[in-house]
Amino acid sequence: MAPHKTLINRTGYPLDVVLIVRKGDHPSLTAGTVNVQLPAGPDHEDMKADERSVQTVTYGNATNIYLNGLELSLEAEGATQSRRRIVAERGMDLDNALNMFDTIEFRFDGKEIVFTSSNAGSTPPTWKLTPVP
Amino acid sequence: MAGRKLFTNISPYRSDVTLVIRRSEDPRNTAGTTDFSLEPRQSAWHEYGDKVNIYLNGIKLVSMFKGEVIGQQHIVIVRGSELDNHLNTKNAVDFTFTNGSIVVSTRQVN
Repeated sequence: MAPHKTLINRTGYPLDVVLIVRKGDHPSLTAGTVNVQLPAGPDHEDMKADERSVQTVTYGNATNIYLNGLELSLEAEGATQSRRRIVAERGMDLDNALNMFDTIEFRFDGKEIVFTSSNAGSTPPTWKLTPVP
Repeated sequence: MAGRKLFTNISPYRSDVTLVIRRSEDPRNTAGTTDFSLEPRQSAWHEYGDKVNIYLNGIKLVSMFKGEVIGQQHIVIVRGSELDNHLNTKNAVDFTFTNGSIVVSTRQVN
């Protein structure tokens, strides 16, 4: 099965995402790109699956299972804002963010598009409070 | 006289800068680009355009940090927008680095 990610647009603006696929396991090689357009939302019941602000996207194939980078762009307040982040070295922050999680969530802070990664199936941490005797 | 600004890289990473110059007054038209690099904590005046093309349409930044290459671009579409005002009503541009983003801010120096 081809690898996949769930992309969530919480920027408040239509967001263009380009997933850059790694060829094999070395970040210096690229195996094409996947373009995704995520509407601003909110989503409606009658929308098609590929018109939603949350989309699960497949990329690569059985051998090209990693992402090498992301390009993000949106138009807000009379300007276009674009960001591109490309992995240069394996095991560093960006590589881990792109390749150890199944969900990527995008936000816009007014100036920059930012993203966070998480695993949909993971249980949020819980703390057990011990009453002070 | 061409446009002229003071660019300061406050970030700990070398930054490659491309200025996108507006042709005359309409942000839809471009009159080329100017490229330069700034070392960490380096500050330098740079000129761009000419006596007719004095406005900036945008800025592109590329840095390398923590095993990744990060590129950003900010391009004006509408005159009088926040970005247009940042780029064209101040004479100094500063770059800082926060949470994997290059943050651009502007100020007026005398």
